[in-house]
Amino acid sequence: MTADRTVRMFGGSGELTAPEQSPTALEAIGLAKRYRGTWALRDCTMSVPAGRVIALVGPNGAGKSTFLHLVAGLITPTRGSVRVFGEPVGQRAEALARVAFLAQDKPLYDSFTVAEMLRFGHHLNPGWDDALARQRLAELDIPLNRKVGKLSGGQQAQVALTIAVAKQPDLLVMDEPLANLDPVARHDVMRSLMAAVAETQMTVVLSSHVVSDLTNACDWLVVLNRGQVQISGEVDELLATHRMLSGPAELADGVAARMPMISDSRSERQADLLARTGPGTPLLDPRWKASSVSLEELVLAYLRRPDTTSLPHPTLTISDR
Amino acid sequence: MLWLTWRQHRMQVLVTTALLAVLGAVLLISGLGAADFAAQSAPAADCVADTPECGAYRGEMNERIRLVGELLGWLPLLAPAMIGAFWGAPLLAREFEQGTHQLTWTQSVTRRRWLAAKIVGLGAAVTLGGLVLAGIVEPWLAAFDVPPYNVDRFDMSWFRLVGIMPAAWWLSAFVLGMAAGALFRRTLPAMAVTLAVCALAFFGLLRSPSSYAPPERAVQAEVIDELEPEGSLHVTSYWIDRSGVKYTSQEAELALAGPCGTDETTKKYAKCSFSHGYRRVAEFHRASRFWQFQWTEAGILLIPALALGGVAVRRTLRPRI
Repeated sequence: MTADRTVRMFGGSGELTAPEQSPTALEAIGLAKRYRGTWALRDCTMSVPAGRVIALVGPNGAGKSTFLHLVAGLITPTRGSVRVFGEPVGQRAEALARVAFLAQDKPLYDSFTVAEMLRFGHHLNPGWDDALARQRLAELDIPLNRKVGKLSGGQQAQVALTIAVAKQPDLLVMDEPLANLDPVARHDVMRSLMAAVAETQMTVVLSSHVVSDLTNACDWLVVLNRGQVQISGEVDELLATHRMLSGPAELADGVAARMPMISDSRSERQADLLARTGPGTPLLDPRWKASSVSLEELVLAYLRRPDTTSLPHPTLTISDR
Repeated sequence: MLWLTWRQHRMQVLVTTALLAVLGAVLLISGLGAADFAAQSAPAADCVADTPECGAYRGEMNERIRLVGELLGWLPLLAPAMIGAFWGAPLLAREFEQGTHQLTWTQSVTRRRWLAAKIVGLGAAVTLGGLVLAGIVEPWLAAFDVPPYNVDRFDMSWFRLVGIMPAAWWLSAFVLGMAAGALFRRTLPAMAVTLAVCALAFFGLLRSPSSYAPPERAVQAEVIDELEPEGSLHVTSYWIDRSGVKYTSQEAELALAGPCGTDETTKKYAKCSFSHGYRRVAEFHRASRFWQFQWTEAGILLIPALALGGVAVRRTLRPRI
């Protein structure tokens, strides 16, 4: 598992590993949240195994932040429930200790020095690993006696991430961790996150509206759209089961009838169909060419068709439609 | 947790402590000066007011107490307002404003414990500060209370600077500020509302203590009677004639101007007015009601403040966002 991630982190393609039986890290059942009459999240059901790096993707306003706040226990659901490692989320010290949360603006106390932020983490977390925190900050060249407000955006993100990691959570939840960072800082934050993940066994959920930020780092993809789960599945499996089919336009209707189409673009002579072909290469007329798709293309195609879904288990299909 | 409370609010604690220390020094100097002067030049305790020696002593003591007393007179209004605005209002509002509640509420400490440490810790500090203020004002007043000069803590000039009044005002203002911060979630509006409510409470209650209980009534029976016992809180005084009809002082003076003349300070005038059936009536509260009134006003302040604080705490603990 860890080795596989390390390979991914450096951009290797990684071979398909046999799906292992791991406990469920995150489970949402019929999760819904309404703010003043508007549903931010409706009937969201998913189950994600432990030990994964989960990308939560969706357009702005899809309900990503709401979902992550529910997982972190900052808000309570209007309906449904969310469980982390089988335990309901809530205001109990032991439940809080298992989940670390990094909010979108990476809030820190600006008037504290970095050392005081560490002391804050130490005082408020029984599982705090002070040596780990200090080592991380030393590696990042962040001075402990500097006021947090005087650090650069990237350094603040690193301090916030360090506090989350040194808490030694089982689940690390991050809301748009790369937003508001310059390209160098994005890369550095992501790399140090992946290094931390490789060293520990923690499960990570991170959200972004930019798919390309996450493609190399994540091995599980959840797509939220209009407050509902559209895709939840292993990245490699999703890539293996979707194909871009290109062929003569006059045969497109026949192909489209045989399998679920995610996108369908036709010109006079040529048709490009993004299809869920299932495992293996589909048997088609030789005039058709099947090519693999990138994660970004896949996500975009799904987001354009909110009525299509790709969910791992038949029991988890969305019912309220 | 207490470390965090101290670290976040040490500025308020230090500034308040410093101001109390400065005030303590000023009162010490003034009090020592007064005590010195009284020891050297106090005439006999039962000296008659209009002898030059007695008058000079009283005049000097009056001048000395007025100098600092005018400064102190602002404290019952300013101190609670400042405590409410700078200790109370930012307590929760700043966390919401800067998003740091998302950081703190996702550490391994429950919101309840975090809030309890803040409110109990700072509430205790504020209460202690109020008691300290009373503790330095009372010996200062005592230094002036050398007969024939008389200082009386039931006097409305001092009533809110002694006993439990500063502590009750400070604590109520702190809780009010905290609640305003929790409800508005923004520091400046919370401060403004706190200042406004503190000012309203101060001016609303300014003259109310005399109505905290039905006053005692004393009717002049002999010319030289002192109607109000030492240390009483004066409510009102007026004249009645034989049939019990009420007259204000001016009306009585007008009625007596013919038979008794207009110099109402002399004993002759008093005897004359007495022989015409006029009696002076005074309404007052005895000094023994001092503590009853202190606790009454403390209740008037603390009960609504704590009720509002309870609402604010409930709203904060409920995981909304």
